[in-house]
Amino acid sequence: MTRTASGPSRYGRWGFLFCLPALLFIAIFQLYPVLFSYFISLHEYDLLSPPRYVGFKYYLGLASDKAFLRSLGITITYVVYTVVPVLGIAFWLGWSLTKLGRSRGVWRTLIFLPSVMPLVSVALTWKLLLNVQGPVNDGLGFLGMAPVSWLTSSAMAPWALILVSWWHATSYYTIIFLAGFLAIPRDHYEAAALDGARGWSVLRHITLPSMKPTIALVVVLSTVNGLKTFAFQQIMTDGGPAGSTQILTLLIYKTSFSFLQMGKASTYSVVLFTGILVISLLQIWLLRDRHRHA
Amino acid sequence: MHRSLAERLLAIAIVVFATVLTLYPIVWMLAASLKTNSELFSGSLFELGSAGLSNFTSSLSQRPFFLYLFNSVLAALVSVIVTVVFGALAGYSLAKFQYRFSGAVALIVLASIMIPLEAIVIPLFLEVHAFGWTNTYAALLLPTAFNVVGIFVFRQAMVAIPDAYIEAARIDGASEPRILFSVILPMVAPSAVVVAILTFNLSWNSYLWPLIVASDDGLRTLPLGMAAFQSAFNTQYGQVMAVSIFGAVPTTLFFIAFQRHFIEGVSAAGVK
Repeated sequence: MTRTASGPSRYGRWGFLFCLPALLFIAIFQLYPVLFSYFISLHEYDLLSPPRYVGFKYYLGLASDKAFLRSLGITITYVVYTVVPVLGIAFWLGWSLTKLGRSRGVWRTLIFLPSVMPLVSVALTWKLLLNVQGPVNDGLGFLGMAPVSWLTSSAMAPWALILVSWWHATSYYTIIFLAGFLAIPRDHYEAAALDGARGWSVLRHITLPSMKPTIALVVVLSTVNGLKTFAFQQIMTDGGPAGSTQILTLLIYKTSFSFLQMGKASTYSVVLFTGILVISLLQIWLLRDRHRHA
Repeated sequence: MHRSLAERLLAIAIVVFATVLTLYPIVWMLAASLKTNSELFSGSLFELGSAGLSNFTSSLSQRPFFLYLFNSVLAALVSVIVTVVFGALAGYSLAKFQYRFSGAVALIVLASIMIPLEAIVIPLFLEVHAFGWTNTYAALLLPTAFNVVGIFVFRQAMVAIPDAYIEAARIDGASEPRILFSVILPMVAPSAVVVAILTFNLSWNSYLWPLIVASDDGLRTLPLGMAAFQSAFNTQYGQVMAVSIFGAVPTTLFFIAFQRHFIEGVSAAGVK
């Protein structure tokens, strides 16, 4: 800890003053809303009449709330099928990028482009790419396959959104992986080469162990981002067809702002928040672990 | 040697394949914006459409897109200024000061980073409503203006600065705010750029909050305007693509200008 020698007494007042504007923002627009959401989740509230206390009614109802359970399942499916393949693709692609010599910078820039595109532009473009008459189906036709109703059948729509998330998320995590690979000290590889290690054996014994923290980070980041997804579903399918892509954030949005059931929607929010909190705490724990080994 | 050449060729093949898949939708969007509806799903990607720029002129005049653009830029600027200034102040405080509640303050800041907007939109909306901010710029701009991550980026950079700089400035009689703004802040300028870029991008992509508070068309930001255009004219494919390019141009230009910092910002997450 490098703290100013003169310590608490003389300059501490300034330290507190410097923190004040940020604390004010955090208190008004983050901490208070969190506490308030617990309060609302214990009330029946439709914005029109005053809130009525109902205790834990909504929490107890969760286990038999079909809309919620379905949405929870859709969310978990989406997150799992986004996180796992993206992790694999981004790792492999990042690794391949390290093998490219001087041209690496150019490829890196091109691969990063989807992360620069506004989410809404991405959603609008993919909505057309996945149109029944669109280019994705043209490609399938070229391979001799029948056209797929990507966004208009409840069986395929969840997969269509997962596909889009692969395109969008891979870009970002590839760059994180590439940075991780490039940070591995060269002498680790040289030592392994002296020991006669090659190919897979280098990957298993040198690269993978060194990349553990980056892998953990990407898993946590992509899981949290997956849980928070909203714009793609809202724009491309609006949760449909037949609710097949109604992830939690969208269910919360509709329950509160379309059906004005603020208490019920707040209960859903508390569940989502708790899930994200657990994963974030896991991240802190993982990062602490990394500093110990570093 | 033989083996490493094969490995390298495989890597090149993978990267080229991935890049083609990455660029295809973007190129398709550009090509589609110049096509008429009947050309869009039939012709090949590289066939130049006959619509010219008509998709742009007709779509952009149909809705106040330049007002949406203004609102988006305003929101991004407010967010960047608030985050850089308040983030630098708080980051400095966490890095270099110790006072009675400094531990508690650090804990509050750390906790707040884990609170996702998606989970608190309802109480936030009710709060803004209670403030009487319904359909105002205050509601659109303020609640999501501050990006807490900024505090951490600044703290990280400032911890590395030796205390001697601060002590020397104090001996010279500089006031505490003066020390921060003329001694410390110039030393962490690269971090300030990273914070500004991350915050700009976050604000530019923000969708859920504006959707909830900007029911008035005049308050809409670009993402909302684009989405609303799509739902109103969803069969005017070429125009929808023109609108989606209009929204993508500012961030792409921004990216080209600050490319190194963008990638540094992302990479930092993977290495630190």
